[in-house]
Amino acid sequence: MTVIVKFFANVKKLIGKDEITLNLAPSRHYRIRDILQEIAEHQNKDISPFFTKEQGIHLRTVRVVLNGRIIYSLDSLEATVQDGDRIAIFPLLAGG
Amino acid sequence: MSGYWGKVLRVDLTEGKITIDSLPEEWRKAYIGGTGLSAKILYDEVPAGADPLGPENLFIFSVGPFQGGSKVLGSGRFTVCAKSPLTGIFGESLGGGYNAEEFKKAGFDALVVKGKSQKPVYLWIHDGEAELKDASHLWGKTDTFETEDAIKDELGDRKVQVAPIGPAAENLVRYAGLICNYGHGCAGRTGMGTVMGSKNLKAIAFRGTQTVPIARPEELEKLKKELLAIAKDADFTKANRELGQAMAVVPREENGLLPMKNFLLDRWPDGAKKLGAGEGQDFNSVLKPKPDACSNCIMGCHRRVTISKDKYAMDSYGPEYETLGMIGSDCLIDNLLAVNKANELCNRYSLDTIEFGGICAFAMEAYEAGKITKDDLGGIELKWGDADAMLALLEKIAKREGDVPRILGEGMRVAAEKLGVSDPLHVNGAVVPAHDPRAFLSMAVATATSMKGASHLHGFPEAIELGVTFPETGLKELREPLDPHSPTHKGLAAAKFQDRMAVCNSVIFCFFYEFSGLDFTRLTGFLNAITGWDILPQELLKTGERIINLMNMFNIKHGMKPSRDYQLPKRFLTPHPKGGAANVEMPFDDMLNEYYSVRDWPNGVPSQGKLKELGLDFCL
Ligand code: SF4
Repeated sequence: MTVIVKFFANVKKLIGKDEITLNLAPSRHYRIRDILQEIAEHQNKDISPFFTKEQGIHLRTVRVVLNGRIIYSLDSLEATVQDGDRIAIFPLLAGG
Repeated sequence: MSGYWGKVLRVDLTEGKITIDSLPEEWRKAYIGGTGLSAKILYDEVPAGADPLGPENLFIFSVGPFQGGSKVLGSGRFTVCAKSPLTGIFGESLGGGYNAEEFKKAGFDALVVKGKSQKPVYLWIHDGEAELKDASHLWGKTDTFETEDAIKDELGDRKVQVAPIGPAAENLVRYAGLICNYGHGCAGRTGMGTVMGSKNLKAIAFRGTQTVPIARPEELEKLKKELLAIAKDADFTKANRELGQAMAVVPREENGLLPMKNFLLDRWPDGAKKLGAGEGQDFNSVLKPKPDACSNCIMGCHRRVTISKDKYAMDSYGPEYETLGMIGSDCLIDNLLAVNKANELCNRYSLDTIEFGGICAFAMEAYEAGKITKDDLGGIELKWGDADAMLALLEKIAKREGDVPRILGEGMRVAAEKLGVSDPLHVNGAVVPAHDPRAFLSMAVATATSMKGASHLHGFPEAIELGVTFPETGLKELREPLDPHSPTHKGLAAAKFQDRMAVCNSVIFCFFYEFSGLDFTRLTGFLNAITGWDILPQELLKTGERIINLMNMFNIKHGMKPSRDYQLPKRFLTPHPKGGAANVEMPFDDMLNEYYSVRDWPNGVPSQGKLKELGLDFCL
């Protein structure tokens, strides 16, 4: 299955790309947690400012959006990711 | 009636008369409360050409259906509105702390003050009653913190909440606000405290014990439970509680949103670290802040700070992002203790920290260019980064000492004209806050078309460039996040997020919760459960559009020419060569045209058809 991940602002700078396409095994059940793990492992960059790997992956300073919805209002890190889904990753910080 | 008392308290200070008006259902549905209701009253009742500091202007303190009973997360906020003495157009400011709940529980939805009292007074509102009390012993003598103490003592009840003004508002500095709860609830922008000062109204005190009825309590509880479950685990909630808004300084220095040297500089990493909160940054280690929350909030982004035995000793609340950006980085001041002290002094004097910081940076640039001299400033050498010079200027502006500080107290538009400075960084008289519009292009349109002069909170379309989408619009363009550096759909986003914010400021809730799960569908659900209505998110969005159109019609009635006035200062039209927003081109006119076309505002003026569609025929 195919999932498109877009990066914004500081995350984009760190990863060095606007977006990546992940080609994943169709048989496995993927959650947001697994996708972030994939990114952390395969991007070959030091992305510790945004992800750390204690107990699997741990979200620190990013906001993850799955198909236009922030994952808090879904199942957060446990939300299921399906073929054709679009994920966007932003720096967490916002507000006035 | 649920969610409302249906009561508007009317005070005529000239006559010393207090009456109570009803709040009809059609107004509740059409304008909700807070900013929306204030827009209707101001449009109807303030005559064109009225002097903002004259008795004809109204001062409105109001809340919405979310206050006084629902305890929805983030509902501890109020609005104050008037014709602004800073901008001459619609004035609005929101504050937190405890006053919103206390006012509503005292039995009113809104307070409308007109006229001018002969002598200084304060208004005491308690459980359905109100009286004017002498404040001659406070006027000219007490700052906002002392005023709050004195009134609580006088009324013999520490549970009384107070919305006071300080010396800067009494002295009619045009950007004085209401500073409540010792700096916990600040409604600083657009000179709403100055309007109180012009009316000889030193404070409003509230005490209330009544809870407003809720139409469908079980439904409300269910919705609240759902939101709580999401919000309490949301990373934004955790970060906002742990670090407060100072957490935004360093990331925004990196992405180009932070103002540096009057928006001239593109990087300032070492300075940002001295002001920000987070790993390797100074805010928490130097100020040792404790989180504090407005009513009905689990985030608690406000910071209680006590600094003893220091040149900059204080005991109050610490600076938030906007203050760190405007008084700190915009003036190149990296002395956190001094910025913290300036924040406390602004609060005591009731000066808006955004406006003061912007004016100080403006004056520093003018000083460097030789347009202002040391002599003009009574001996202050106003150099970039000089914290003590900034503090000295603050005192002079608040106390109106000397010709040039007096001019600076008139606001940036007047100061630029009188001092011969070109391209001052304000929109319609209000300084551009700590959100450089070059970093998030939606903010360029929203800042220029803010109905209250430059503001980062008149709409916050930046949200969709940070992942908060807006599917309730039914527009596919706003279903996915937008790239901050691309102009695509930015006029559209600005318009829709302004409508959304108009609703937010009318029902009223703290928009930080939009980043922790309070989306527009949920918001509509809360409103329906509280009031017993059954409206759809799309209908509520129309209400937001109605409010924005009405604000624009207020501005036009009071002399605004949209095509001339909804513009950005030229400095923002040239991209920074370096930094997080390096070389981002801004096709401002194209984005603005898209905005006008989405709004059906040819040249910025609402079309007749649009006004009719929104039920604003009375503006024709
Ligand atoms: S998040 Fe901050 S501003 Fe909003 S209600 Fe809570 S303490 Fe007040």
